[in-house]
Amino acid sequence: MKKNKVFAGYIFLKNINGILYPSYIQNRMNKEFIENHLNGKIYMSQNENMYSKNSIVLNSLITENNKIDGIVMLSVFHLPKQKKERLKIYKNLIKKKKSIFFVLENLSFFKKRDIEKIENSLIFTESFFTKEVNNLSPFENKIFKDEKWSFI
Amino acid sequence: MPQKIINDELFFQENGYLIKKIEDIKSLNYISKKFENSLFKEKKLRNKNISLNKLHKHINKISLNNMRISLIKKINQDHKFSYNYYNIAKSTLDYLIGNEVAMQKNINVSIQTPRDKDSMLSMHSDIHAGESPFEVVAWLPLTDVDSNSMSMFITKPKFNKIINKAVTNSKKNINEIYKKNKKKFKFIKIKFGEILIFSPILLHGNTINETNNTRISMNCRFKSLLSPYNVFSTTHRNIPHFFKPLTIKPMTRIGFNFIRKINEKK
Repeated sequence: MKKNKVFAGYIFLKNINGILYPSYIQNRMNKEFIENHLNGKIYMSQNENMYSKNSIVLNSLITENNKIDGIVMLSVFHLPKQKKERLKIYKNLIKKKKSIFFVLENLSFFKKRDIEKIENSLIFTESFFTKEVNNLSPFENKIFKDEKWSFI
Repeated sequence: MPQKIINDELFFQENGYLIKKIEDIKSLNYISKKFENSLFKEKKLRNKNISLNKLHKHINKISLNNMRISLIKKINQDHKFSYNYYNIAKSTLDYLIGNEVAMQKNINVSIQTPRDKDSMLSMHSDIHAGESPFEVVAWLPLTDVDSNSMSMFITKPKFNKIINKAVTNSKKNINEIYKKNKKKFKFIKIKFGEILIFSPILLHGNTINETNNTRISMNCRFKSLLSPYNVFSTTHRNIPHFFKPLTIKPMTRIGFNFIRKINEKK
């Protein structure tokens, strides 16, 4: 019988595009993804240390000799901000033959070639994309004021 | 600007949608073939030679939604599928939103069997659910749709202003507002081989399929990568759940890296 792979859920209480998913919701979403999408077993869920800058929990899950085949987290928003840190993570994942899955983006990392799509999606973590637009600047007001192009 | 584009622009301004003949037939073939292959791998349809518009004869309503979800999963697992979907609408999308594009992560499939009340989608605007007003919907029929088959309806921008006011302010329910304004909606006529691109700011929906044919369509949202996502509200719906970056141009990469480097030095 084919053995089910084992995955750890990774929980980080850091907002994703301004929305904070409580840890119990993250836990449920990770578990659902592991069991229904990956047909795997959940090994455990671990919370990232909110006061350290080194993603200590994530790095430990990857580099320690544990039972897990991979890690499931909600979003690429939970990866370290520094590219150098992320490259270290990709390198260690390859070395330890582990994978990472991002539930909301439906992205995964297995091999070096997966780096590009993950790094591309990180563009959305820039504040340029996540800022809320509630009104127009005087310049935008002047340029775009045109009833013909108003649909509402 | 070429006259063809000027005409399209005027039509879009007045109607809020365009129906275009698909130029990239290779991509259309890829999409329909992949869809059919995935469909005919489904348990109840395996090894059967069925025309898409007669699908209802081979599947019951209860298993329909599960099959639809399974199809959505299968087609979206194939990265080539989304590139081909973009290609079938590319020239019109380039004109409407630009060529640096964010694309909906999952392409949706809609299957409406004859007289199925459950697949009816009443009058709505996607923007009311927190989506970005900078997006367009690219709606691809896999079966022909006659306007008299009362499939998808959409209103014009000039009427949208009035009906939207009723939706956001009146005490009537959606169906009452729709019925009152029924004449202000147009039923779309579209053939397989064409694509409908529309602004989801405009109120639209569908009615019960009263024909004897199953209607199958796909829909996917596109927007300019660099246009706003969180408009009036911050929702998970746009980022990161809904859109993925499809094309990122070199100068965008260079510009964002410039900001990053300067900030690192601070």
